[in-house]
Amino acid sequence: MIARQHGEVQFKRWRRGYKVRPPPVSSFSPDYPGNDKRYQKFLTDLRYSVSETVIRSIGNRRWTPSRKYPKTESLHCCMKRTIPFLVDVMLPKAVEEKKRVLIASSENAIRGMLMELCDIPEEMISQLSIPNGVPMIYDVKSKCLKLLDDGTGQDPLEKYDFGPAAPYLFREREPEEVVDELCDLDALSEEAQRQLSEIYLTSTKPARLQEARLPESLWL
Amino acid sequence: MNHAISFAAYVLNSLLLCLPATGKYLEKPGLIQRALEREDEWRRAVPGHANDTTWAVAATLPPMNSLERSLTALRQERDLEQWAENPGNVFINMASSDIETVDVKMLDGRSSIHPVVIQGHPCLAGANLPDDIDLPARKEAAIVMIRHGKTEHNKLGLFTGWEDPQLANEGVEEAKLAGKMLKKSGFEFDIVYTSWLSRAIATSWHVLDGLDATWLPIVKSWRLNERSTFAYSVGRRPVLPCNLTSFSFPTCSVWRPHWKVQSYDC
Repeated sequence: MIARQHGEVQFKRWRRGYKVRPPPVSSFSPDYPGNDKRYQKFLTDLRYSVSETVIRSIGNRRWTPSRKYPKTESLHCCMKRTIPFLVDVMLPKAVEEKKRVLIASSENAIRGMLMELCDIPEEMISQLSIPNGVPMIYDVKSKCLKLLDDGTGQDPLEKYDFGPAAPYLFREREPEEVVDELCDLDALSEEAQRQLSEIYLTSTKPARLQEARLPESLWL
Repeated sequence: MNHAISFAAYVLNSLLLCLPATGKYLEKPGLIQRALEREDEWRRAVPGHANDTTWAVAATLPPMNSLERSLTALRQERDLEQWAENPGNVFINMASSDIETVDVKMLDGRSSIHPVVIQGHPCLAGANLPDDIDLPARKEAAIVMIRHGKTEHNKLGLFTGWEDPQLANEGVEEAKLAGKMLKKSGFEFDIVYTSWLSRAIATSWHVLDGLDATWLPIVKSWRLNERSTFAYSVGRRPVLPCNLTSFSFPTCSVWRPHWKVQSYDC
């Protein structure tokens, strides 16, 4: 229905685009979180919105502070709330406190977290899909996902559809592997070496190493 | 007067209650007996007669809840005890060391504490074990992510943002199965994180039910909610007749390299 209203192409962009946001919801829609009791009462870590507060105070005829709930989000926006929670709350629980953590969430939130955990590039994230109700074990040491073998003898990768970006999830990534790949200069062609030296010279922070991947065409 | 009425009622009641059960209103004696005998005869004579009727009924029953399951297990245990008390039956001790040796040898000859069977791909972990054996509990840190089970929206291929549909029956089954699989592979958890959407919460419940660990703390955070795309939900009218969305909203700010739990502004 929405696809008919706005066209297939636009619809696909909204659903699969990384930084594309669909049109925002009205503040008066019952779908808007500000009209939902649970968010009104318990959501405390969002800043207050002046316009929402003014309109709601006038509407209710009493002082009603209202927060700035999201009206529409791209995957990027979704990650901006998910990943701080992952990095600052859940990961330290698992890594530092040695706790065993179970996370039950929805597709896009999990995609965002996997993008952070498994280093999936932006252009591939739209091609990742998460099957319903399949536990995915994140191996903190090798930094990749593992699946449970359900004993049917079927390969879980064939059974569940993770989309074309699945190899990014299941590759083993030791922390030093990334450095190895870039530092093994002898194994690269001259063209690749030249590009690599340029990248190294332009990037100042060591944190940018991961972004400084070689284009795939130059891989050996 | 009142006393007279209550006395009359008492007499009437006692008369009605004390009517002798002559069996007049029951069916003819022996009718059920004969029907059962005929059923037995059919079962013996006609192949497949019994399978259709009894199992079809059992399949349509709703799945048992945990209380019913435990009661069934208890009943089976009692039946077994009764059976074992009968001197005619030979009792074989199944809880001997046979099974424990099987446990270790099943796993490619490895005898590590956390055996991992790798199948086809370097990153697959799992346990290919018979039904009655669970792996020992894993003690090391782990992060397990699970997407909620199927909702009716998912089945139809609709996108659901912060709308709040319940899990479909299929989704409940998926979540329970996931919990059982995790238990079989020796996973235990210390803490559970989930979103504020009931499908994710229900999934975590069912997974924990499968894990026999419903007592675990569940931390809910709106930050784990699905991407909010309210534009996809259709056919609902605004709360007020007027639509005042003329105020402008700032766009996403620049991507921050170092994340901190902070005021989210998007």
